[in-house]
Amino acid sequence: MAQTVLIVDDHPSFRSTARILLESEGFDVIGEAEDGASAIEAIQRLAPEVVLLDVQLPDMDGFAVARTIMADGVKSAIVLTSSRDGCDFGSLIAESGARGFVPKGELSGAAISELLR
Amino acid sequence: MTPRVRLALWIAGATAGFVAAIVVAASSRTDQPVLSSVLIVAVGWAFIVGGLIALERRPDNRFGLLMAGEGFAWFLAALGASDNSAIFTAGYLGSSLYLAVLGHTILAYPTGRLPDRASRIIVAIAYLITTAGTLAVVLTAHPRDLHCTDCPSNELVLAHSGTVASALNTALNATGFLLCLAAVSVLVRRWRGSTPAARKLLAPVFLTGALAIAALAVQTGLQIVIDVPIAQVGTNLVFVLIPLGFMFGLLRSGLARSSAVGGLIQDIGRSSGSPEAIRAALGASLADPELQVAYWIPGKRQFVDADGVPVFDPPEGSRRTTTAVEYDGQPVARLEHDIALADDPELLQAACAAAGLALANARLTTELRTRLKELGASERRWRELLERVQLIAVSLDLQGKIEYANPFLAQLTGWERDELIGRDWLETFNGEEREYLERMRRADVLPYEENFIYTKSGERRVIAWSNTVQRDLDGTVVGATSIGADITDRRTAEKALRALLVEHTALERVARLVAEGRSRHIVFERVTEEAGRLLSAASCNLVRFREDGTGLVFGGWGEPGANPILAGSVVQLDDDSTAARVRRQAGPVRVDSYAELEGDLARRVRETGIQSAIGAPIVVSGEMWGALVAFSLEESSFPDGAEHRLAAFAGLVGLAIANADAREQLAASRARIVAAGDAERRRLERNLHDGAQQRLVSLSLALRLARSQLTKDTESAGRTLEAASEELNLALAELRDLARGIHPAVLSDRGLQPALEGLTLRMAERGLVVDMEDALDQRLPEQVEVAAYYVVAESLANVSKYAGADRVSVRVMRENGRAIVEVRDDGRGGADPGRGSGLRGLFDRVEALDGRLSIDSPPGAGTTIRAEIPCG
Repeated sequence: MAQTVLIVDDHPSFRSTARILLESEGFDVIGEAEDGASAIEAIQRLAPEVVLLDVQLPDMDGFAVARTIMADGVKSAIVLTSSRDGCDFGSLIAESGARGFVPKGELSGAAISELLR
Repeated sequence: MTPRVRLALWIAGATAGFVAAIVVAASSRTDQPVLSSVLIVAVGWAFIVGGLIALERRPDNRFGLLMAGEGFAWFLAALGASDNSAIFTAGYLGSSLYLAVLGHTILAYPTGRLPDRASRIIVAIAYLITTAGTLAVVLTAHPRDLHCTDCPSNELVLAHSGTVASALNTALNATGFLLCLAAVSVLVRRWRGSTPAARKLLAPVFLTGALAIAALAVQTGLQIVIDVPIAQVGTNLVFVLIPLGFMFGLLRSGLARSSAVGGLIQDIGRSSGSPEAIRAALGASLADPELQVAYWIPGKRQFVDADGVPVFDPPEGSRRTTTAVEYDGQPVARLEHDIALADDPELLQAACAAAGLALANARLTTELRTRLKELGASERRWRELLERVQLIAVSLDLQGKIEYANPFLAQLTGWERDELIGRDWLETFNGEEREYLERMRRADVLPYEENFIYTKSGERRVIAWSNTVQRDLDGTVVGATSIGADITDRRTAEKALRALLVEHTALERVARLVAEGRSRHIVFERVTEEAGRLLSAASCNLVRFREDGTGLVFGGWGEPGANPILAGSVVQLDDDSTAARVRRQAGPVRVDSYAELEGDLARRVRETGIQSAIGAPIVVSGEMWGALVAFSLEESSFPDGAEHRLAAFAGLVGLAIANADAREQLAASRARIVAAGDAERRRLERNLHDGAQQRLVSLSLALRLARSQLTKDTESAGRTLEAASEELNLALAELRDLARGIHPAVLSDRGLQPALEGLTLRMAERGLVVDMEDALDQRLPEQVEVAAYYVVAESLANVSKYAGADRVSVRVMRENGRAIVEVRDDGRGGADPGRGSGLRGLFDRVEALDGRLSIDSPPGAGTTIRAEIPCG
């Protein structure tokens, strides 16, 4: 059974491309969110197995979203992404509780599966 | 001439006499051999003896030699009596030489030297005819040709011619006759030109000489007329009178000398011994009534007459000369007398010796007179000096009464000079100087002191005194004399100079603080203290003028215990108080009394005890910033001009504030530039991240998706690639805009005009019509172009965003070496440069190039932004 995914990003073009890409690789994209607040609401509501979470959001950053849902006991696996390089964020990624980080330019279903293993 | 030579002459003379006597006595042609011999020898020896006696007396006088020579020449002529032809010929040859020597001797009397040209010519011709002339006769004539039939033969006849010889002889006699007349004429003329003293000396020789020459003239004249030798017995007798006359003269002068000296001693003894009496006695005894006596004054190293007037040497060529008189080995006097007296030095010496003591005494009298005269002259000079000098000269007696006061004291103090004499000094001029009188009585006055005197009108003058006590002949102190200089003005000037120095030092201290860029607070504190202390104020404050007509009082400096002047309070500046006047008059002011001043501030100041004040404006960058005010607890206590001195401190305050403002503005400008740079980088990063980067990420994903779709669903792959292509175009457009925002490349490559045209086009795309007027004929410096571009770009962006304008005009030109950029719109106005960072950034950018940016944006009436930037 395909894993369910929620895509959180403020750029529509990225969300649509990511959806097509992940679905083509067998993931079930069950929702999209464009900022931190709507992302938290969608995670609680949809309980996706995987959350593809952009670090830079208009209202709060991805790390804050991650801390909030983790604190709420949500079981979803969080995969952080950004058009910046992962090194730019130092230890923030490791300390956020997320499964890992995938640069936007290297996003693929395989890359997410690799992090979920 | 040495004594040995003179002895030889004595012997030669005696020998010559004997030889002549023998020759004459032995001659066959002599009728009375003994008588003739005696006569010949007597005449010859008379000359030789007279001459040698003269030589003994005056070895350096050639007269004696000449007279002795005449004797020898006489004996030479006597050889002509010989029967021996050789001796005869020798005597024949020298037969008339004695005539020339005789003339020489008489004309050279008494010095032995011929004194004038006429004498020298006569003597020279005489020698010529008696030597060369006689030789010519001797060479041509036998004795018989000249009427001597029994004479021996002439051994020297070379060319016998009785006619020639006779003619020659006649010519020689004629010449001799004329020479005799000329000589007599010279003697007469010389006699007439002589002084009595000289005649006394000349008489014996001149009379006998003139007689001899006259006789000779008669004899020669007769010979010419009758051409026959005349017996010379008479002439010979006359010749012998000459040496006898000379001897008589010597004898007479010796007797006269004794008589003169004796008379002189008697005259001086009978006289008062005064210089004039001695002069008269000397003149009489030396037969020189014009004789003058000059006395030697050792201190002056000069001869003076009896009145002390300096005496100088007689002029050269005059007939006066001088003879020094010594007494006891010391120079005493100098006689100025007839030059003829020099020929009788024995007489002069005897007279000087006889009068020596009297002259020495007279010299002392003269010296005393001279000294007294000088003393009188010196006193007159000093007195005259004291009368004219611009210094006080005053003498007091022991009671302090004024004995002498010069005109300057009277002039300075306003008293009449006559009033001052006899007045009490202390009562008249300074009652506090009683110690001076005590010191004077103790002969202990201070050589230099300064004190005051009061003029008749009560004005106080500062006097620098030089004092000295006066004593009488016994050395007893009888008073004191003082010379005083009025140094009042000098003291005043020195005081002013010292005050100026103190003021400059204070200003320098403040200026140093300003130059060091100390904070306003420190400068205010120091300025108020320095100015307050310098001007002897009770306190000193700063007042900051505010736009609403009030003033904020800064606490400054105050003497301990002085009430603070409303420090920290806001006061109304609408009355006549000092700060308010400074504000109104924009210059230094003084308020000598707060007593009558109305108004709230004046009242509040008065309540603190202040009575007067001075104030000066503080001007910062041409604007009235505030006032520096110094206060006093007394009325009118500030000296004249104090407010202007305060202004110098106020000037430094203005400078300090301007400096601080400039520093603050510079620091703020730097901070804004840094912040603007940071913000710009953040904006770029955000734009890149949010724009082009996101599109490129999506493009990357789309391309990967399309690749995976190619094998399964080519149609989907095509759609994905189509979307990717659009995404790529958008990314490119965004990157282009971004790059233009960083720096328009066209500006660097093509200049300001194409860059501004590009701006105009983009504005037109947004619906804003821009009226562009570019009047530049050449490119501006790159930095100026960039600044001008951003002024236009930012202004147009603001117009586009906020102004709601219908039209915008942009004008760019160069004027007086400055680039002028002006953007004018017809929008709503009201732009505030302090609100947005864009306009503030423009200010910084323009000011960084030393330019000036102004914004005129009244609400509802459009906005004009104008930049003026120097073109370097």
